[in-house]
Amino acid sequence: MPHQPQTGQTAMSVRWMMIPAVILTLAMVVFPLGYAVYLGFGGGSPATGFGVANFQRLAADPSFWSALRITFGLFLSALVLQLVLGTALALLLNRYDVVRGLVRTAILSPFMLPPVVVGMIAIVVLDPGLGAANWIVQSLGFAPLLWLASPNWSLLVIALIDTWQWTPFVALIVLGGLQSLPARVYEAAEIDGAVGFRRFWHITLPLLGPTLLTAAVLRSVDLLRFFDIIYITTQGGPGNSTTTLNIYAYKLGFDFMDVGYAAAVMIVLALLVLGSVLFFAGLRKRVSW
Amino acid sequence: MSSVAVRNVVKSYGEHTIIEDLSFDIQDGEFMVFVGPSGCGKSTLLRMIAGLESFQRGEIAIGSRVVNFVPARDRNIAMVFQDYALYPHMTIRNNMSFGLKMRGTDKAEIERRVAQASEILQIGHLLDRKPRALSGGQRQRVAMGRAIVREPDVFLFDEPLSNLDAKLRVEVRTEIKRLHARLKTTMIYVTHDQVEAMTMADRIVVLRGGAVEQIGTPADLYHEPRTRFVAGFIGSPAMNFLPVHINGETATLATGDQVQVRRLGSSAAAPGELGIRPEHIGITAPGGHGVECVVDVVEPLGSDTLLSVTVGDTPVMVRLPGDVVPKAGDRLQLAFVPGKALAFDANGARI
Amino acid sequence: MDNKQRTLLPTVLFSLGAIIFMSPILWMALSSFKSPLEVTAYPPSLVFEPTLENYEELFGRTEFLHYTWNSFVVAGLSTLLGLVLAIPAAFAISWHRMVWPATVSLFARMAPGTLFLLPWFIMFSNLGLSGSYTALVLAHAVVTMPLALWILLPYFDGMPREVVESGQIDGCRGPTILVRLVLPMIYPGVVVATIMSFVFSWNYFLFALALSGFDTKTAIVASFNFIGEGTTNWGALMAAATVIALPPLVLTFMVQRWLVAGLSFGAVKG
Repeated sequence: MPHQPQTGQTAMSVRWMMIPAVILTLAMVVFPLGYAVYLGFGGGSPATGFGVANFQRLAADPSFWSALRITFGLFLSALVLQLVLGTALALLLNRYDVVRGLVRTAILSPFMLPPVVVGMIAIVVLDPGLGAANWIVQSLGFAPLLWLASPNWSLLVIALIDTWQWTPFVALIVLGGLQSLPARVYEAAEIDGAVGFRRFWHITLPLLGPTLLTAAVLRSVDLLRFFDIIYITTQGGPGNSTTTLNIYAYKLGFDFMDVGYAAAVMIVLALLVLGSVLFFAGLRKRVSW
Repeated sequence: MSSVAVRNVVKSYGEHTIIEDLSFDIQDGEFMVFVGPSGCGKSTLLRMIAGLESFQRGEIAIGSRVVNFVPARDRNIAMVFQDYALYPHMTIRNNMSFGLKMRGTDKAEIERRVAQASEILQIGHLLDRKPRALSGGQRQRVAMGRAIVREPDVFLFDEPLSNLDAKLRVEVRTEIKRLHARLKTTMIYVTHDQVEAMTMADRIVVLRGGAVEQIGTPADLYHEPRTRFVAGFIGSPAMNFLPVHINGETATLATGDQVQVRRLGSSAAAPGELGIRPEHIGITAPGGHGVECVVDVVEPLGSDTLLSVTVGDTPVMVRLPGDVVPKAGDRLQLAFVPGKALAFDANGARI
Repeated sequence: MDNKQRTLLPTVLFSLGAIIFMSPILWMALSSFKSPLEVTAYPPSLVFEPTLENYEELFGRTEFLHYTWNSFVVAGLSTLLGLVLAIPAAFAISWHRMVWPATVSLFARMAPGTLFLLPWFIMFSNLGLSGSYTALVLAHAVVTMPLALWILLPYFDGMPREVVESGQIDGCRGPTILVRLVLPMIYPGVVVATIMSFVFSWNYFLFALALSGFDTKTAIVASFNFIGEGTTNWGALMAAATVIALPPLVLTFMVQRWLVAGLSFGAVKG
């Protein structure tokens, strides 16, 4: 029988070259995920038996709801701050074309630092007694602050630290978006009489929609899973004021060895991340052009 | 509606001069085309009239108002861009009404104008779509619609047809002419395509290297080109140029043949060039005497037959009626239509 | 849009802003050279006599040198493993224009690391790999492999298929084509992927925190333990922070053009 080339298929198949990567993914991602779900539903635990017991417990657990609130608080405050400041910074950088030398260094350094290092700096700089931050606050004539030691403000301080670290990243993404906007459209807008703020509002901002959405997705995934800096600085405290879902789950699993329940909390967190990504994916249709 | 005046305008980037000392007037209601090879400054000139580019010296006036320092939005002009520059995030309706909204036109008036423009251009069914859902031709219409609703004093077109396929280009060309007949508004149109320029323009400005080569009606440019450049640029296939020695009304070819040329004035005998359009060359009846040539390539187009021939060493294009089809290698005797052969001096000026 | 304005004043203002913005990092480096007395002085001193005391303390009296070595081993080997797996996979995905692997690795990247940790902990205990380099390298490869894949895919996609096809006609098989024809063309992508993988692996805290043993602790986990021990030896802490921060910062600046160009960078953050 003569060989018939099939349309849409190349003669050379190199699919097998994926096998090693697939094996690692199966062993280190897929199997553990399945195992975590099994644990979350009480698998391997004689105390709860297989079922939704862990999830029932979770619904009645005030610590869980508190962690959920805190996770959302951090997520929303930091996301809004970073998108607004990042966009503003990108507009400035685009206008003055200064992404060179010192400025480029300042933009790239923070988000390439290990979060642990950022946390260590925060410990030293934000120390209520001896830190440089309070020295500046006092020099400006204000009363010293407790920073991370304040149960009321610690979460906001964490959000601000993350904003310091990630705003330049958002600005870089937005800058890339700005630079790819069609120049002719701006000339048409000039003739149509859209200048200054009106140009920003009617032309630039809507055109940046997809770019801002990309930045929002990337930051959301990180913010909902926020862990390193909190674990280094406050360990979830003072009180429970910075105990996010991820911190809570880690403590349950590794400090209290409450494995099944920890897995349940992690599953909820994973669903939350997935939900936020799907939410933004849904928005994409509305902002794309 | 407005006239446009360009007076002694100079534009340069550092040492590099883009536009050198240009002056001309465009009448109220005229369809003016800027044509020239790429890099001749035609688009820059249009963008200067639009207010998108600054210039160093001279002045530009729209109507009686000098607009040198008037921003684009206040010049009451509308522009159709080469790539249309539609607002990608707005529906067609919003694309068309945006400029009016920015000017604070009231809603009823905006709706009336959008309805009217979309009727003229037959894009009523597209109003709620976004640009990406439209074909190139449809986008082109929307770009024109966006200009029309503004009811500007002057329409500016920057190579608006160059992104369309050949068939559509001819259609839209006709449509723009029809639009001009209907609106009677001043239109300035930039193109590199001399056919577009000839078919659409009331008058044409031929630009070369930032300077005006000639301004005139299409017929002027075709029959009375002032320079060898214009003579060669206008018309398709292009005019033939043959090296000759000019003495009075007689030009002597390298082959020794003598041909009558139409002169503008008289000058001392000198070497120069003879210009003759392919359609102004015929072949003599068998046995007649003309300029001898050898046929290289024959292109039978049906309506016409195009011949590439060689006269002495010079290649020449000849356009013959479609029923005359010689063969490659034939020797023919060429006859130049009396009064159609033009004379140019060594510098390319018509003499 | 706007005409770019390149004047002296904005450059000066932005540079000033950049210095203020980076002041925490500068503060870290400064503090690491202060004596124990000066580092806790209040008000803090800006002018002081620099000393290497903290670094002597850090490398002399603790095992920090060993932990730094651990970090290099784990980051280096996981980068290598990630690339060795990602390069052929990216070639196959790009050549066959597959969509699902990208989606799968995206979901893997989204999942909270803690979700993998518990099962890994149990898996590695049962395999007798608790606290071993192997466990750490495998865990970090889950970070580096998808990252390398995301960075490499656009490079593979941007390569003309005709090159591969002419390789086939010249009688090469898949692996030969990849190594001899494709890799030389996309080596800038491989360089970027290597550097970014190393930086992300080096910076990763959570997996090493839970999975490393006493001997395999990475520098990052070790310095966290300094804090936990209640030592307020800020000088040594800042010295450790400086040592940890140095490799990512240095490596980042080797690929800064690529980073600023932002080409698909949006998609690679792990």
